[in-house]
Amino acid sequence: MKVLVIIPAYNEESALGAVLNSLQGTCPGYDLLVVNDASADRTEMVARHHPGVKVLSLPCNLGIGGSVQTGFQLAVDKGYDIAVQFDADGQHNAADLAKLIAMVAEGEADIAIGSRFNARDMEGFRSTGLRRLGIRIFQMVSLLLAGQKITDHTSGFRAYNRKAFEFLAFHYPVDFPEPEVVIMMARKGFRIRETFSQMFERQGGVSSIPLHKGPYYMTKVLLAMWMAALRKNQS
Amino acid sequence: MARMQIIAILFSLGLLAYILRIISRKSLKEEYSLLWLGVSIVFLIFSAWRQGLEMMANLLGVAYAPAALFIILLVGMLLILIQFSMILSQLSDRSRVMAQKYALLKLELETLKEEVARWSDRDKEAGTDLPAPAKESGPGA
Repeated sequence: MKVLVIIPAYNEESALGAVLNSLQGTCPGYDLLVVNDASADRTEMVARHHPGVKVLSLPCNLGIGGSVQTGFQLAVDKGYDIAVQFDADGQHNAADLAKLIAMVAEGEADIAIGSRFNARDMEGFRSTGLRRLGIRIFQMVSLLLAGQKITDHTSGFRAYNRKAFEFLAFHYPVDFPEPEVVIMMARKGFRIRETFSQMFERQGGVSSIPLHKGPYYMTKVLLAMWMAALRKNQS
Repeated sequence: MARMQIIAILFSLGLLAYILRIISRKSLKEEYSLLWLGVSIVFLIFSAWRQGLEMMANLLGVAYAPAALFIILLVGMLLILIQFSMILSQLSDRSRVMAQKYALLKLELETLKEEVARWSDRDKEAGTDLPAPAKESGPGA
């Protein structure tokens, strides 16, 4: 089973090296692909000097959606069976990667999401109050629009099977894609499952959604989710 | 003829002439010019045809007929702006696809270059100083 781990990176020079090390340490059999989204810092150097890592360098900044999608396109081209999205800021736990991949590989799900929320309690990760509010809103909206109980829409820790990433290689939302993808894929009939994965504080870099852009982010993503739900029957 | 009407006619004639000129100079593509032409022609018609404008004003419930001209202009601008937003979305989509293709091709090229370098190194070690014999034996052979 060929697995490609896609690591979208925008100005992540400080955290990226450790992330790559942890991935290579826990799962040496997987191919690692860093998608450098036109970073202004040494992200590309860090990635290129890391042995055994493929680097895709975008000529202009496309945002996380466009970066991950480029990874999917490579996965389609090179005949991978599973594609994983793994953020470059060190907040995901590489030890859970095998668990996510197993869910997809064994056919339990088309998309497996590593959720920061445990089914029983909400331990694991303390977000700021406003972020939690945003996450709550996403949960309600997705239950309404897609009929799926997903707890963590914003998680960037996901494994996709071939069918799912083949679709996304050509239909991927661009800016802040995670919540929208959940709706879109659920509506398309893909099976989405979550599993608990502990999230760490980011190890470096800055969030793609600073606090003052929160309302803009929420409005845009909610609109996109709604539109994704309306587009149900289109190809 | 009211002064307002004269100004409106001159303005719309000027607009029409300018748009035709930039189309002929190829500064404006035909496909994007249709709305501009349409708006300026409609504006010209209602500037010149006073009765028509009054009928229109009646229909819209506007007491002062020339104000209806502004409504026409406003609706026209709105349509053109929406068209702009659509074109922008399309363009940003296309540039995204191109950036992605470029990045993928670059990786492919880098991989091939490494492959070639490996082969020519091997040849140098073997004493034959020819370019990589890519045709005869595949990679990893």
